[in-house]
Amino acid sequence: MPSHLHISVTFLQHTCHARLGKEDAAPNEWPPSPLRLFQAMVAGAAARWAGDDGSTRAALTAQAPVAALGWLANLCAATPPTILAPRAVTGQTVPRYVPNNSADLVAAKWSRGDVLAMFEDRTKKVFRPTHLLDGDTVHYLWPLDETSERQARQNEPTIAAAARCIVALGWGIDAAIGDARIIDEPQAARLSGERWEPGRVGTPGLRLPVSNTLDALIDRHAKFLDRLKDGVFHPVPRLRAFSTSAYRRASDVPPRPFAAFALRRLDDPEKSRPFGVENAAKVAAMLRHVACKATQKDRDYWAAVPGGSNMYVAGHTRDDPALTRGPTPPRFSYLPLPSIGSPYADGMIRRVLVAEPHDGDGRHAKWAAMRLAASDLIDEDTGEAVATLERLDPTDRVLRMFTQRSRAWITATPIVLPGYDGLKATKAAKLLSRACDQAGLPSGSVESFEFIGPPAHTGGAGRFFVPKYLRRWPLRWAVLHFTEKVEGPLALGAGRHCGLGALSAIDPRA
Amino acid sequence: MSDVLTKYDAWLNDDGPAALVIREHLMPVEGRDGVVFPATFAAEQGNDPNRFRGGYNIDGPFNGQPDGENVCLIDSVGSQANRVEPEFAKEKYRTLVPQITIKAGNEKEVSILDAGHRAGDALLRCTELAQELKASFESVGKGDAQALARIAPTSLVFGVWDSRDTQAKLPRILGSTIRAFNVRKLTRGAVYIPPLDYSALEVFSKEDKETAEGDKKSPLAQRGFVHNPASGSHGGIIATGGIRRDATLNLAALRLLNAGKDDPAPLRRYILGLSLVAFTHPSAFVGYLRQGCTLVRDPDKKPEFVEVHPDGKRAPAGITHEAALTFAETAAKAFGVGESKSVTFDKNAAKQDVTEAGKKNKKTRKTEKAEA
Repeated sequence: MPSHLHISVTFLQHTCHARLGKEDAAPNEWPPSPLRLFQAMVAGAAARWAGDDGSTRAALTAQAPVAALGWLANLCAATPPTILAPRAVTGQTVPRYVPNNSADLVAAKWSRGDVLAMFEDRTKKVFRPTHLLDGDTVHYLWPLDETSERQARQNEPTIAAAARCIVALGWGIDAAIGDARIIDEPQAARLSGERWEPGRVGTPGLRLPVSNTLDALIDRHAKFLDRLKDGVFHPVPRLRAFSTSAYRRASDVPPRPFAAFALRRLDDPEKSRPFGVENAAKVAAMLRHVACKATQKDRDYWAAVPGGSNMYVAGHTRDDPALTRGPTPPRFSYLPLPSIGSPYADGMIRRVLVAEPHDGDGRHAKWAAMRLAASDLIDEDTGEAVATLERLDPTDRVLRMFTQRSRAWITATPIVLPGYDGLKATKAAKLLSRACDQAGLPSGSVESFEFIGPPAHTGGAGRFFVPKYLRRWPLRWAVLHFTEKVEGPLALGAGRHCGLGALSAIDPRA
Repeated sequence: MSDVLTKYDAWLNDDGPAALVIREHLMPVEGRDGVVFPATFAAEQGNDPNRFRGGYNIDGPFNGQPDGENVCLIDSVGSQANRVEPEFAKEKYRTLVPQITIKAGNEKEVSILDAGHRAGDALLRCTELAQELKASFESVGKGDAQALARIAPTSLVFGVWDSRDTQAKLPRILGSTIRAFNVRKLTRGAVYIPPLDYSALEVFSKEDKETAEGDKKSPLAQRGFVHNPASGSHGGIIATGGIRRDATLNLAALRLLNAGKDDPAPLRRYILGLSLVAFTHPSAFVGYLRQGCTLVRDPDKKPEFVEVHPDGKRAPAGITHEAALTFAETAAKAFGVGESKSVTFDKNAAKQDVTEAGKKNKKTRKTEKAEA
């Protein structure tokens, strides 16, 4: 029966103040990263085994914990743990002014007779707790194969002892207790909490210990103790011995790498070349044509991609009869972006993006960003260049409307429903649900949606150019609410790869 | 060995519970629906429209709905610790810990129990205790907390960081926080009315009076010469979801206290005794917290006292304050309470420390410059 190494941490106060960085503005870290867990265990172990083998807190040298913690770091590096954590929300950022440790200055005033002198030297400390809503225990689970299970059983007593030395996770005020043991599959299945699955190692996300993390921590701690040595402040270097992995809940919408471009005039690249929003699919077709042409320069690169450029870039999935049913194979989506988001926005298309599927690794988007920049869009009818592509600043205001994180999204170009709805609301709702599934949105990620009329910038659905093979399906506009904030770009419907069904975030402050 | 001394050893064993938790329900002295004034905090600086504007620390609503659950901080961990630690200077408990006072000048005297940073406080670095404390913190780093327990045992109970010297850090064993749930925030308005019409007495003109009234920045309003209305200021909260104190005694942290080559049991029992006395203190954590915030225990809601095991399991536990005090006295006697002292603040040592700090800073800047 498969088994798991299980380390649990129970918070005693239902709050955690861990952050993703030292600066005040750094977002809260939830769930606590495997590296944070490892550091808490190392700190506890250093105190627990202090004195053994002549070790001190500055140099954890007792053999048992060093070997076991080293093994755990390697296990994390090779197999990041699945994390089950209570649902949590971030509280507000509240500055508190706490006394600096400088009472000697005040006492000096007292000794001069100024008995009314007060502690004035205060320092700002910004608090932003993460509140745990439906539980207090975070579970870290490592699946074990035959070899790793043997090693795990050898190290289990020491790992358990180190876990039981955990006194806090996050800040010092986040009192916590830990435990560790090997459990079987049914026991693992009974653990409660939101399930956070690791992504690929090396992707941005939570920090993981690696093989040299323990040495680096011991070295860093020694430097911390010596930071005021010989009357000189020695800055303590940051810990760099770690890896990262993206973590996602089963209901989270995976991020979508993309390359964004501005459309510029050929004769004056300083100026935009706008296209009517109704021609979104035409602009997407021109963009796809440019991308297909660019693949000829990188035949070797695309030959290594399953389906090649024919499928991934050109989207010729119908060439393979096996792919006409079932999930769409990975491919680029070409999304023209209407200028929206301000009272003066005219809804014209001045920006486009090429997006990988959700959870893409970003390699192909990088390729598109590099190869398509400075390329010209060619009008299919006239064969003439009509615009040139310029790399777009990621902070561009309109681009942010389509790529920011938001819970509420609205169609900027109409969704082509993947079937005929017979003008019935219930059937349309079913088709929209299907469109969400087809777009790769995890089940349960969409909380609710409603159909709406065409937004003002579009001038009505009837004006939109729709590729011939999609003309039998209805065009619809909708607002979607997700259970959690979702990062764009998002596109839904049968036309999501060819310029239709792009969603823009609804700014909650608007 | 007396039974009292070993009675709570199960809490100190490696296979024992990891923490003790008390959850007690509180209510305003006026009644459950009474208005309570929580701690207020300064506004966050900057231009972010979502920044904290100052006032009560209320987090939520958690489900995104205006009427969703929220939680309000009434008294923080640090604040609660500062309320209970000075209790060890009172007659009933003063023999449990060494009473160390620092004299600064002829009139000022500060107890170590009131020093903000406990044994790590800069105040103590400028007394004859400096070297002893330094050695104690260094011993802690080498796995022996006995010396520190003989000078400043409450530093082991409430946590300490020797930030100005050895950098030794000890975690908090005892933590307590008071929060209110599902609160409704109130505001209040008031107006200051001057006792005389100063413009009628020609102290200033009627025009000046009209301009100054309601203008908080006006010197006349600030000095109380004209009517000064104040509206929308903090009016307290009503906690519809109740008020609760969550206190934890982290036994896992207590077990990390070692005594070098000696048996750690007497040290751990001593610190456990002090922790239990504070943990079960009947009045220090509640009562009058600040103006408008006097809290008492809710007689209709039974407090929860449990031991939490490493695997998260909870089992009922309990100890009365009197039993905790008896145990603490026995454990203190067995360990040996450190000597009480009155030491003098050494102005010259402080000057030297400040001068050295200045030199250090200059030296650091020079070093940085050279490295650059």
